[in-house]
Amino acid sequence: MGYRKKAEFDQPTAEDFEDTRRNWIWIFPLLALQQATLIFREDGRSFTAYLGIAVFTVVVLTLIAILSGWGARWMSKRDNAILNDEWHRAVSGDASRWGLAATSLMGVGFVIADRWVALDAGETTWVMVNAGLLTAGLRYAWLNRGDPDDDE
Amino acid sequence: MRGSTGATLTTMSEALGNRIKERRSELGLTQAELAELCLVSRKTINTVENGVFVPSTVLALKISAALSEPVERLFWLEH
Repeated sequence: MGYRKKAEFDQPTAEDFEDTRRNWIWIFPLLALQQATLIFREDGRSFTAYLGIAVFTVVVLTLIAILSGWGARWMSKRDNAILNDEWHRAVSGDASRWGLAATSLMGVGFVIADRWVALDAGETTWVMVNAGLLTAGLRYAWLNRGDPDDDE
Repeated sequence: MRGSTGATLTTMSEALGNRIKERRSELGLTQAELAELCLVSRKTINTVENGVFVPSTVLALKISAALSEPVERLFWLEH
């Protein structure tokens, strides 16, 4: 039948994980937009708001996990070492600095803007958090873009 | 070659040359096999080899041991 064995299906390798991490991070901006429409829409019922908050939480935790190099518990020490190797640490460190800078700049911008425009605390917090995480995520994706050259 | 690997952490890669690819070819090793020996991803080996990423001393020594070549013959400072 060609089915894969359950063990293989349930346990992606370090290489699978690495590819997913590199390629799927580009969709995070779309998820962030989706969060906003669910959380802040005018006629938002409580269910859609909670759904938006759940999506927001998952996205935040996923990005933090990627940037921090959280270990995957089903993987061996070897696979976790490969996932969190020097290249990943260098790239995620650089991306985190960009994220911190974006959050800080947005914070300063909001403090200044608040002198003239009444800002909503929830929206402001959402924008600051997402600005930092998305900047970090996109910087990570940019530095990590492209598969390595063909092996020889 | 540099562009095709994706990232360029230029501030970290300005001054380190290497002959990993030549030595690897001499031994008939692929990047994936060398990565396996050093316990890093192929992306790391690829970016070190292409001069995009400067490895730590520990990784440089691991690569050196895996390729059976003194580290000073694998890496050098470029002026």
